[in-house]
Amino acid sequence: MTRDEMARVALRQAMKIRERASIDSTSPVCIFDLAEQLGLEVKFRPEKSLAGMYAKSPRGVILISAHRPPGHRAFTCAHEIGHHIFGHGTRVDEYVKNADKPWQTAPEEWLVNRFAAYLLMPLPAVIKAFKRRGWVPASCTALQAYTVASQLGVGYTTLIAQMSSTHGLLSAERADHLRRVTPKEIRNQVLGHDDSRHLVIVDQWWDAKVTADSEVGDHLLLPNNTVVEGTAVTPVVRNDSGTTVIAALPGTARAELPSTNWAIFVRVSKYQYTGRSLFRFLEDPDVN
Amino acid sequence: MPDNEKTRKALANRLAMARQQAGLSQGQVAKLIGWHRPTISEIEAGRRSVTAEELRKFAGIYDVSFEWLAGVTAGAVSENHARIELAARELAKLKKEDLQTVMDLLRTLRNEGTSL
Repeated sequence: MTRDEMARVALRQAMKIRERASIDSTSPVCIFDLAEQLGLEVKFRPEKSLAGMYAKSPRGVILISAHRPPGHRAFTCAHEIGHHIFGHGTRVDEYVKNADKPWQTAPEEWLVNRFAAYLLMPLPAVIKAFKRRGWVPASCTALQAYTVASQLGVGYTTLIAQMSSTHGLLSAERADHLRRVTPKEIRNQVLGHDDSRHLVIVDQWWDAKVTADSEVGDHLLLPNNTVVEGTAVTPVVRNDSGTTVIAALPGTARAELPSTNWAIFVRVSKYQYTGRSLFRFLEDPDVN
Repeated sequence: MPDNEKTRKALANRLAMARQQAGLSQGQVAKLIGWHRPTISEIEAGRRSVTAEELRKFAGIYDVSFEWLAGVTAGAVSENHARIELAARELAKLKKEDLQTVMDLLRTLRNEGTSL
């Protein structure tokens, strides 16, 4: 298969999976919940050298390192779903025997990476995210790209790569320009101080169907005058760019804009949570 | 230590390990099952016995096999180990000891799908 053919296969499968889960091509997706909808068990793991793994047997299980940034974890999960969909897998005894040789063939990895990118950031979803905010992808700012990446649940540079090399929405020059701005600089710009923890930007264009997911210690920027119910997050500051809250405890909070019909759920897990994905947002009576 | 006490301790240790592996605190498990939290700590301290039905409930929540939890699979471990098929992202970077702990996890899992 040529790369073009592989890309078409990847796109077709990604769209099929969205269809199976009743998620249209313009919506953001929570990839971990999607994996579970597909009957896969997702577990976050403490092993630091592990990026992600798909175990085909005894049954479909996806393992993801808890130590990677959120965007990386989401992409890894989509990547492992790809291995599941395409039926990839090698017996462990063969792996151990051939431990020194390159184990996996590059085409399989290329295919599932493409699949992952299409599953998380299909062209209609990217275009809609910019358009509904009145932004133009070709000339977007770093903050705009970061906002869209937040909503799609992917890393900032991952979105730029997809917009430029796959979707052709950004010139190589523009992509380079955006890449020179780091997520850290964007966070500092929004928060007004140096902070190494993750920032999720949530605006009024977020769909109520999509939750804002975070870990204890993360910042979330919500629209101005947002009212938050629940102990999972604590408001810290209100300024011109919005209401900033910090994810405080595992659980779910509800954020709404009074006198509008806009509301979303903010889900919080422990920092670098390890365990079954199913339980990651469960309130903890031992902590709360 | 009498044999049945040893067995109970070993079971208690597996229960505590499986709970932590599932990402749950004792309080969370108690809430999920609808028990009082001290019951879970008594069980994990080996001070309270567990019925087969209760073990099944724990196995379901922790996503481990009943046989592993009950301690009846020791002999079959290496065979199961070799049968596991997998694919991994950035596999070349995976350290041997981390592969080992991942394999240890996989062999505790259930064969059938997940349900609570």
